[in-house]
Amino acid sequence: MFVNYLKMAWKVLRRRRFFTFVSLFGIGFTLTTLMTVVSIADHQLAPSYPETQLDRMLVLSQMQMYGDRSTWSSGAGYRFIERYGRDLPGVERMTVYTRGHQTITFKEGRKLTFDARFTDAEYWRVLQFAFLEGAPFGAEDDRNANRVAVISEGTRRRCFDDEPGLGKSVELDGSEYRVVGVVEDVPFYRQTAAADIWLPIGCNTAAGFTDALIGGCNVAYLVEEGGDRKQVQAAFRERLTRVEFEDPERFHTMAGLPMTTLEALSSLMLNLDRGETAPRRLVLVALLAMLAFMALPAINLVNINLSRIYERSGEIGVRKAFGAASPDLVLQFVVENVVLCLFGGVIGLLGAFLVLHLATLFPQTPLMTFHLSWRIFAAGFALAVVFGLLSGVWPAWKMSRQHPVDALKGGTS
Amino acid sequence: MTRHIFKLVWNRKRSTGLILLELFICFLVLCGLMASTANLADRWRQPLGFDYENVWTVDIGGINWRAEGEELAADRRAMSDLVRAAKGLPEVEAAAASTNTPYSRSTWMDGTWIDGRQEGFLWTMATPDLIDVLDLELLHGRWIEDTDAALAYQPMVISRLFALDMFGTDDPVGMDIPVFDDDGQPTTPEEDAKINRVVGVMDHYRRSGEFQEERYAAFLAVDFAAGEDMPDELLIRVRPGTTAEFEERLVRTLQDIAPRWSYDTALLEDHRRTRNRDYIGPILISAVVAGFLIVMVGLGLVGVLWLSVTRRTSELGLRRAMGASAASVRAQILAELWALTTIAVVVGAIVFLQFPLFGANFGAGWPVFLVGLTAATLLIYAFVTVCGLYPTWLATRVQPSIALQYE
Repeated sequence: MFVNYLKMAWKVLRRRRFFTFVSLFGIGFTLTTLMTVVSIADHQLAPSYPETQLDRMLVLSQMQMYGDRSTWSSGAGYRFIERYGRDLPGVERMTVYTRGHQTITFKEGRKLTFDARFTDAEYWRVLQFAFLEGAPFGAEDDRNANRVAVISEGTRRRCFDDEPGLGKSVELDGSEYRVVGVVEDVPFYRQTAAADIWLPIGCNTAAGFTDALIGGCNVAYLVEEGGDRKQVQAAFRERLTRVEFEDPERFHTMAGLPMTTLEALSSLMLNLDRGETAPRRLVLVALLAMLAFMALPAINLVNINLSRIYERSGEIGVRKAFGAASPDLVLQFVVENVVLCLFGGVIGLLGAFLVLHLATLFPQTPLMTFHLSWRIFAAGFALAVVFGLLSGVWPAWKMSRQHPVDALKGGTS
Repeated sequence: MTRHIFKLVWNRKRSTGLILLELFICFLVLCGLMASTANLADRWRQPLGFDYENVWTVDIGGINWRAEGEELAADRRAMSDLVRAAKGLPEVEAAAASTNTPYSRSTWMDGTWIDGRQEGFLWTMATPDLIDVLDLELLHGRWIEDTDAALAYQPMVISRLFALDMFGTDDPVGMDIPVFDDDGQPTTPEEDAKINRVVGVMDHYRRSGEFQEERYAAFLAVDFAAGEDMPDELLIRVRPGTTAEFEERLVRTLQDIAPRWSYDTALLEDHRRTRNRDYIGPILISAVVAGFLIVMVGLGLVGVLWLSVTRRTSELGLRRAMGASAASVRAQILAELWALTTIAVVVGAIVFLQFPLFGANFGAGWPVFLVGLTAATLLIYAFVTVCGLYPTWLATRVQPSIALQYE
């Protein structure tokens, strides 16, 4: 029976090419847009090089310091981390790194700009970088503030014209650094890992850096395998209550929380403060937004489907006259519509691939990639089915209710 | 006739309901798109108030903002040395240190109250050469000067827009900027605080660029001798035709003076391009998505009309048989479509006009908003007419004899 429906669906699709084209155009476009958004979200949220342990990571990126009159919002301060952020229970490793800054060098009179980060040695164990040359710098380099650097493949190309970079030196903001390692490029949207150049945090000699409670630093905690991140977060909250302030008249409270990527995104997008998170609300808002976006295309498709009822009155009449019940007809038409939407889903996947591929051609979004993971595939399938049901059920129900006599005559109701 | 057309539409309300809904949403999307476009065009043609060509910016990094005492004094000295050294380079025509430099993302604001509303204004602390670097226009009064710090009050030059909203048509020069408490009530300033006094009025300063709304701006002189704050950006005007090689020499010069800081140099034109691109980019993407949505609705409309015309063969055939010309049948179909669109437009316009009442005015005033509404209305009529062309042509081809056969 089901196979018959599929066969019928195929025949109907081929019968009126214009309508099939219009339907597929609408579905394909809708799903392309949604799939693009889904894959970008997937890029952000799913573990991938070099943040392969992202599902165990909690990142402390935004902190606030409150006083009666003013609020200071920035990254964590180095002194805060040293005093209160270390040795949290349930944490396997942790790394401290800066948020990234621009650094420049000159090559034959031309300026080259890079994104640089200061990191500690643990950074290279929390994140799994692929080294093309050399190795990361160690705790020793960090402690002694040795001027060494790990650079990305892209940086090597720009500085040394793709020749081996190991042992060579590069002048950044007027100081010489020796290259000790070269890693594969990191896409710009990897929050913790993205940079062109990594330097030991001990080399950061900016005045006031080491005695700030707030400003400039991030911490990534790697939760123990099977550990509970909620416990880590609770322990962190407890630490916040212990902070001693130099001048309680100006500032007396600190807020912030190590968060999963989704939690961090929710706090950013929903404008939450004081280390609050609402991942569920964010997901709900995103789903509702997707449904809202589908509304116009769905109405369009419903319209086309309804119009085509009359075209198929004869078929409906014959089937009814021979005893087909309404639910059978509803099922048949819904299956047809879902099949159509699955074709649209394939177009959507190809479209999203194309859009993201085109995006890599723009200098603002380098290294954007489109992986066809099972998650994206599942999301595409789900979107297509939801859209198929959304736009198919009502027309199918209306179709099935046609009176056989009217239907055979040509249908006017 | 019009009544008759609406009656025809009303009689077929069940089958046209969805088309109406579609046209309504489509119209709203078009309204949003057109209002944003009108708004951008309106902003684009307003004067910027400064000249961005042949100007380098230097963003200074690594300043310790919590520095006090001797460290702060050293930083201030270094900053004034940087400005002097930049001026000394042979290609340089003028150089200044300033906050709120054009197209920069860092913003220094201060707040005041105007007509019971809390308003922010750009707290632009600069060395006096800023007027030459950016080619600003002073309308009235005097510009800020290096000796301002010695005065008993804090001299300030404010932008025309700020002056107009704060002081109305009165001459603002010599007026004090009033002091307010946290609830917006005028109070007397504290004993040791300097009063901000307007000494001059300058023209526009739309430092966020062509696409952003103009904000209130105030300029005051940096106090390198004793001020608590100092700007962290340099602006340097060079002679036209200066080569890229200048950049390295500039950075080396600055590094020699204060090696503890980092210097991020860029041409103001590049900042302008990035800033405008980042602003236009998302709008362009939304416009493309909206465009696709509308094309999709259009194709759907063609299909639905096509089928509806084939279904009304008998009705149209009867009219032809009774002597109606092809043109009059075509006019009927189009008129029905326009009637439908009119309903969608009227409802849509009523809904759309609620947006600014609730504050979502796309950052524009009423005129721009109405221009957008008009443009969207014209567009949607043109759009449905184009969609109706093929189906109406089909309708005129109905042969009375064949049509009447069905009955």
